[in-house]
Amino acid sequence: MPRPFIRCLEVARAGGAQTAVVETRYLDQDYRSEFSAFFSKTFPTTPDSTHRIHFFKRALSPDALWRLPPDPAYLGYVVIRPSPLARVGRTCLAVPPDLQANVHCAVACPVNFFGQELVVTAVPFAQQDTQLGRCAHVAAWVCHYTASLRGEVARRPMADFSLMADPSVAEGRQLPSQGLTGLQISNLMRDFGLPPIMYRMGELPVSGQEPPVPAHDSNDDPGLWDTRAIAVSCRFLNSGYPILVGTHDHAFVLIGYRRVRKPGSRDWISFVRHDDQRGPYLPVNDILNDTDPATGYRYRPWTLLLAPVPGKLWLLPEAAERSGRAYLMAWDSRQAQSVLRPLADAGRLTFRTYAIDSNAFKHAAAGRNLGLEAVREYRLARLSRIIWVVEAVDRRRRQRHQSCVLGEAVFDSTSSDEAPRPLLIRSPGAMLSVQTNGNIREPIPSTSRAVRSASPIDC
Amino acid sequence: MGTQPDLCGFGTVTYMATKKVKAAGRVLPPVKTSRRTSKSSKLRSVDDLLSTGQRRELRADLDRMARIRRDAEATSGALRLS
Repeated sequence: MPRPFIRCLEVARAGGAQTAVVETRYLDQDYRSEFSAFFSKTFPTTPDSTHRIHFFKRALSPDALWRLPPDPAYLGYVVIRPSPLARVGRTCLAVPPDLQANVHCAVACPVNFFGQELVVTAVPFAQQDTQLGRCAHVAAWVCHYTASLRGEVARRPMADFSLMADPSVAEGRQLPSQGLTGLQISNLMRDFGLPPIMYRMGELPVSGQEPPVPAHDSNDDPGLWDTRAIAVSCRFLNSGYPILVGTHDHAFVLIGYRRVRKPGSRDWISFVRHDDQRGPYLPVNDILNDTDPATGYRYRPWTLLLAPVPGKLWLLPEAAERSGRAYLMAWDSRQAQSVLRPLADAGRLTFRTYAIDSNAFKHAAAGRNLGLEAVREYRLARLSRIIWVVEAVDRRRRQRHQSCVLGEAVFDSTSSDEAPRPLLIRSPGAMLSVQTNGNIREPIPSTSRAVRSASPIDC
Repeated sequence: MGTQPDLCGFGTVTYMATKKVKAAGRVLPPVKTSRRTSKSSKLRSVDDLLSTGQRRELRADLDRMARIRRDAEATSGALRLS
């Protein structure tokens, strides 16, 4: 059995699956697009429909399928293509219980099961069919379909990722495909409403709080030493945006990360990925020595990171974080009693950056115990549709799973990398608001206690 | 033969509506400047928070990031992922 399908069964089993329902002759939109573009044109006869396997945590009887109990404990589905080369089509399986806190890009995937509406929270997955679509196509589709389920872009069927890739900017045949270049992926995602921010290993921007990279020779492959990729990836994952990673010969998608405490040392970050050749929800324990623990497969060094993001997200998160750190520390030092500086000197202060819709940020304000005036100021502020938020975080409180956000700087996501525009700055005890006419309202009282983050993603 | 609608009064109506909105007052109350500490004077710009040296360092770091971004987007296109 192919490895991706085995992994799908492992994920379903980890979720506690008791029942599997095979829906035959299912008309899957993504497979139909592949059939139309490719399988209908091959010499062998290939069926135009698929099977879809649904998983439930509850034991169900056959006569319950058309009238499910109120809580059927739905775990998701796997579409099975009729092609022997690549069985696993569009798949939405619930995040395994042991990874629930570590997968940041999961979205609500609605399913119609014999007339009954079900929902599973998952990150979509699929396997490449090896001829029409390769790993790069599928990785791009994972990022795009996730965004479409969030309502950010219109859905595109799987075959569009092959048919609409511009063949004139790369060598080789479009069919059978030999993959996509970085430029093709970038153009494709831009045309589909998610222009990616591109990062090249070895030349990654830093905000200034990253640890130094390991010692290396100038000729060493950057994928063997550039640990700055960790911070770059985490900023987008904090925002719920998957990251497409390119190695020398493969592509996969990062969908979350886990922070592992190492006493006396910095926290170790391991990631969670979807790899179309190995399956969904797989661990990445060491980005510099990337090996699949289940199969022993050794990935080649990482070369490229692409973060497909909404079209109005222009500002680099590193630029926001660099500016946010400076402004937060400076604003804090103006208060009667500085809180952030002593924590920074004790090694307890860190900064976390994420993007969020400003409406969601305002909505969260009331439940964060910021103080009445601060909440009013947040909710009545004019903000860009999407904002970057740079939080000042107390490491020790975070390790103890307590509210740990001491302050935040909010940036206009449409501002320039060379001049990030702050909209709100809050440190313990006071905040300021930058109005769109240039006036600054300050100081506005706010809580001096640690509060929880406005981000729905708990890191 | 019809007549053109008279739009000459439209700008006047808009101007009067704007004045009425402004006259209704702001929702946000004025900030109590007495809360400013002895360490601070009124801020005219967020950059006033930083010293000259801090502004220079920030500017240099941001310029470097913008250059890295331009270089990455210019040179990453040829890598093939399959």
